[in-house]
Amino acid sequence: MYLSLLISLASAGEAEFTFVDRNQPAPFEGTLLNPQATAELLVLPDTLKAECDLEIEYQVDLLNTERHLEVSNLNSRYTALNLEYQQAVQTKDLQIENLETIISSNSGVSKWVWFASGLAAGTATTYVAYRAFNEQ
Amino acid sequence: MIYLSFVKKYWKEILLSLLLIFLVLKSRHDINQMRASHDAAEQALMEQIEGLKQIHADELAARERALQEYKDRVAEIEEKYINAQDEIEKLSKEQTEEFVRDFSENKQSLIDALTTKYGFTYVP
Repeated sequence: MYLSLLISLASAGEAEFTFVDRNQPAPFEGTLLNPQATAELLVLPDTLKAECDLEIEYQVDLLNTERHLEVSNLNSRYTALNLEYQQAVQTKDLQIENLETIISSNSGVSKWVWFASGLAAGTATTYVAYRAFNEQ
Repeated sequence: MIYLSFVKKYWKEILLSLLLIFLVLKSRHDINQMRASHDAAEQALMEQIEGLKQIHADELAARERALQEYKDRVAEIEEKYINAQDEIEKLSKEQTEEFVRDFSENKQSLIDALTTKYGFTYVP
């Protein structure tokens, strides 16, 4: 197991660098990167860009989903309030209708009935009183 | 004749009694109407309460559905995100290995990559 670990480490290699001075065999002084470090440096921009794009997409997707949830909840609230309003209006209409029925039963045509009854009762009372007093 | 003389004698009392009876009956009629109106209003309000309960239950169910959809969608997004991260890591590793191979097998490709990506000048 230890051997396989050593082999894998050797094959992957570590990214290493060092500085090269003027007197060392190089055309100019500078930084020496081993193949692994060079490869990682070459891959890094694309990787970072891909990760950045992915992060943006992820955050945007999350925000969109949250907004979608908020909109759904607001729609539910709106629908509920609308239904509550309609029901309240319906109840009030029903109450008004009942009250109108009661009012109309005490007015309108029956008003004339009351008038006629009162007139008849008054006439009868007057007549009875007249007869009673006359006989006395 | 007896009745007539009685009526003649007590006509005021009889009239008052009749008026009183009429007043009582009319009052009872009015009270019954008010009670009917009250019952109708109460029934309408009970129906409204039932309706409100139903509306509230429907709203809660809709909110629950929306929340479940949100959770499912978030799980989907996170899974996609983790998969994409793995994919990027895998691609990055493959490209790194390719560049490491190029170092010994295809130096020109490595030079081109360094020149293109960073604008460095190669000095042999």
